[in-house]
Amino acid sequence: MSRSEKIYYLAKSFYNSGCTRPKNMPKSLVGYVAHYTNLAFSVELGLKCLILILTGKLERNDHSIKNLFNKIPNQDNLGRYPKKIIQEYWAQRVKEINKMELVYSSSSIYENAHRSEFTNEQKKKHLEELLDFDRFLNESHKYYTKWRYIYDYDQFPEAGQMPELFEAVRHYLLMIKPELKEHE
Amino acid sequence: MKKEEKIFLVGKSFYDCGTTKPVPYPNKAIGLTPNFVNLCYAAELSLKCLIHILSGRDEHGHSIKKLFEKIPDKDSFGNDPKEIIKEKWKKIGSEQLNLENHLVGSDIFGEYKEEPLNDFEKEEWKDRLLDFDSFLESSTSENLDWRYIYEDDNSFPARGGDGMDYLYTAVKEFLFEIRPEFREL
Repeated sequence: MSRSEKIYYLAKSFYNSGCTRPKNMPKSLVGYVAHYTNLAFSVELGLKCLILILTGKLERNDHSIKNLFNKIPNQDNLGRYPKKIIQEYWAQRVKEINKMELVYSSSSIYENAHRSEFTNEQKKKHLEELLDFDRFLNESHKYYTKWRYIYDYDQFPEAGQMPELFEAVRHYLLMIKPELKEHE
Repeated sequence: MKKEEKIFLVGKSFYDCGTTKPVPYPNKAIGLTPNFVNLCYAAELSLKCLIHILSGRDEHGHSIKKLFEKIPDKDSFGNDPKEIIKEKWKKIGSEQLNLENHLVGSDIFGEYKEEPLNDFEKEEWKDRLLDFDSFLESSTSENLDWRYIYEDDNSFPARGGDGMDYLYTAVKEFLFEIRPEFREL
């Protein structure tokens, strides 16, 4: 098995784990820290796989989604634009998945989260924010470490559209290497 | 909320995720890798929580062995937490160790067969897997060994997440003794 296949294999496994429903419904957001961490790691691996395929270079020791995303070459050997394809697919998934009906709000991830309804104005603003890819990428810079060491931070990071980013990276990977699908 | 409680809750999140049955995956070891990694974090955080309570220090790093060695020799009752945890680990391990089937494969990304163990092999595995000191020796980089398993062609972590599961559970039991209110978290 080639190295890129191995990375993909592992990435999908972390994505699966990050999307697994918790055994017991957590009382507060802290119960999802492991899921967020696993999802961030799946994106990290997905991007490392993609960079390895396109450039032949294995990225090590970098957890920053932003840095890794920026390392994707502008064009692949068929003249396609990987970053653009990923970003568009991501936006499409964010729009599809985001139901926009309820929002979890609490001042701390350790307190019980209560659900409240969005007003129409809030919905519009919220969707605009969610679809701002650069903002998302900036926030994702230390996402993995931030969730993992959340008890050291006063603020908590946004949950972010990580699953959608993994799906977008996967979408492009399967375009250039359909055989990867055999490894899921 | 106090920091010790926050660390405990983050550890619990990793433990719960690490013990959730994974979705079926063609390769058993890779399908279980996130579970193993999450159990390593859970054990790591339970130790960091314990050290924070007993000494007020915040420790860094992933090495379970180093963290374990940083546990103070005595708690406020005069007990030796390391000895207590070690005994608990062995007890939990002997209750939970499952040796019915053995995964056989030469390449971690390759094919596996499940084979039943004979009685002699079972005893051998039992002695090996329930040896706390050798678990601790192999635990220095287990988290990273699993997480970056594709980086080194020859890497094959010493064991899965079972030892980490026992360790998290042992430390949790000890924490419940010195902080009964953690049960409510």
